[in-house]
Amino acid sequence: MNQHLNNTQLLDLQFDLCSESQSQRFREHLAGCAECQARAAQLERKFAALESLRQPVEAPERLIADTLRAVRLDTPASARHAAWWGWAAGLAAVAMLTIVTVTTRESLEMTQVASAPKGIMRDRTDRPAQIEIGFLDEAPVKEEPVHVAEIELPQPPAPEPAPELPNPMEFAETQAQSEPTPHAEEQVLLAKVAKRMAPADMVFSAAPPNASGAARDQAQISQPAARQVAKPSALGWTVISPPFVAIQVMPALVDGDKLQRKMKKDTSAQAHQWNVSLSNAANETATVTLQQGLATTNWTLSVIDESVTTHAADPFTPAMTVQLLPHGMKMFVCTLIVEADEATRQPEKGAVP
Amino acid sequence: MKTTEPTDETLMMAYQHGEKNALDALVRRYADQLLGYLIRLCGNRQQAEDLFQETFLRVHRKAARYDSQQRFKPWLYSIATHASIDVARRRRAQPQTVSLDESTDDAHPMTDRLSDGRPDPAAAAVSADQREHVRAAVSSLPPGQRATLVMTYFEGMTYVEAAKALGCSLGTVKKQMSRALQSLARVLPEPPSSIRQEVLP
Repeated sequence: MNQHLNNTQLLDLQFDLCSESQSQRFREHLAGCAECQARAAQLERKFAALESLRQPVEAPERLIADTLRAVRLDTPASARHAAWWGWAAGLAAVAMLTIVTVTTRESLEMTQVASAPKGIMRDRTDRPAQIEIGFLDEAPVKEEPVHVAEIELPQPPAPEPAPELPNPMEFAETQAQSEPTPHAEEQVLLAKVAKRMAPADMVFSAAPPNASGAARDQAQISQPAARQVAKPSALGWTVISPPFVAIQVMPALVDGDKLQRKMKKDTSAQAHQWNVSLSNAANETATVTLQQGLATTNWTLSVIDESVTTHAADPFTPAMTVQLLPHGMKMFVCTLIVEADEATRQPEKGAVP
Repeated sequence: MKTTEPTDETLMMAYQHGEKNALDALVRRYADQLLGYLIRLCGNRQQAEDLFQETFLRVHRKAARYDSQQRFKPWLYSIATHASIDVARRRRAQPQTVSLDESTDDAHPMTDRLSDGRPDPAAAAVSADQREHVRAAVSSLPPGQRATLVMTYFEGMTYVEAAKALGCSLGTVKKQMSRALQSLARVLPEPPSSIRQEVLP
C-alpha cells in the first residue's frame, strides 16, 4: 500500500472502526510511513481534548430524591393502560348496550305483540296476519308505517262455546247500520254490555304476576278459555270499563321508553270506538281507545293519554297491546283482549249474520 | 462475610414483581454515570437533570416490558438517549459551531497520552474554556452521532452494545461514529505542535 492514509482511515484505525483486513493494511502502511505516523499522532492529540469532558459527575441527592418521588407519584403503566382500556371498553359497552337495548326492545315488543293473543285469539284466516308498526313523534300521528313485520299466526284449537258473552262486533255492526254516529254507538254498546255482563263472565287471562316471559306465554296458551273473575294484578292494570275487555299485564323490560307506536290508522268512516279505562294497584288510571272499522275489522288503538301509548294490534284479531307509562319510568305492556268467539267474530262485513 | 450486590437485571426483575425499592437501588447505582452521560449528550446540566428524571420515569413505565434476558445498562441508555433525542427535537436546539480559526490556550498537552494511549490525567485539568470549546464541538454533532460518540467513547460501551441501545445495526453505529470523528477532527482545536517540545523533559 503506497498511498498515504487519509484522516478518515487514520481515525477508523484508531477507533477500531474498520474491518480486520483494512486494519491490517493500514497498520502495515503506518509502520513504514513517517508522514502518516505524524498525522496520526496529531489526530490523537486533537482527540485527547475529549478527555476534558470526562469529568466525574456526582448526581445531587436532591435530584435522586426528586426522581424517586416523581416515579412514585406517577401512575403505573398498567393502571394507565387499564384506565384507557376501561374508558374504551366503557364507551364500547355503552354503544353496544344501546344497540342491544333498541334491538331487544324492537324484538321484545314484536314478540309480545305476536305471542300474547295466540292462546286466546281465534284466527280463521289462512293468510298471515300483518302487523304494521309505525314510529310516532310525540304529537303528530304518522300515517305511513315505518316498519312492517309479518307474523304467521298458528291455527288455534277449536274454541269453547261462549254463548253468554257479548258480541261487540256484531253489536257494533248492527248499530252502525242503524245509527252511523260512532260516539252514540259506543255509549249504547257500553250500556248494553254493562247490563248484560256479570263480573263472573269476564275473561281474564292474566299470567301469574311473577311469571317469567316464557311461563307467561305458556300460561296464556294453555288456558285460552279460562274464565276467571277479573281482579287487579299486583304488577299492573285491570280494566274498569267496558267489562268485555280483558287485560293481560306484562312488565316490560324497558324503562322510560318514550317511543310511541300506533297501529295503522283506520280510516273507515264507519269506525266504532270504545274507550277502555284501566286502573292499577296505585289507583292510577289510563284510558285507551279501541277502534273498530266495520269494513275491515281492523282494530286500532289511539293515544288519548300521554301515559298510554299504542303498541300494536293485530288487524285480524280483537286484541291489542298497549304500553303503559304510569310514572314515565317503568313501562308495562298490557294486552287488551276483546272476547269474541267464533260465532260472533266476523272478519268481513259481508259475513256478519 | 462479603455480600454480593444484586445485578441490575435482578433488581429490574424485582421491580417488575412489585419490589419498589429495587428501582431506588438502580437510580442510585446509575445516578452519577447516567447524569454524566446526559450532560455530555445534551451539553447542559439543567437539561440533563430533567432528562435524568424523564429517563427513570420511562424506566418505571416500561418496566413491565423489560426483558430479563436483556442487559439493563444498554436498555437504560437507550431510554435516556431517546428521551434526549425527543427533547432535542421538541426544542429544535440550534447547533453550536466552533471556529477552526480560534487558537487554544492549552497549557497542558496530552503528551503522556501519546506515549501509552491511556487517558491522561492532565487532560482533566485543561481550562474551563477549552472544556467548553470541546463540549460545544460535541454538541454540534447530530443527535445520532453524538449519542454514539458519548456511549462508546465516554461510557465505554462496545459498538454492539451501542447498536442495541440505539436500536440500529452495528454497521450503522460504526458509520455514525466515523462521521462523528470526521466532524470533530474538523472542529476540535489543533494541538500546538511546539508545546510538546516545551513540556517534554
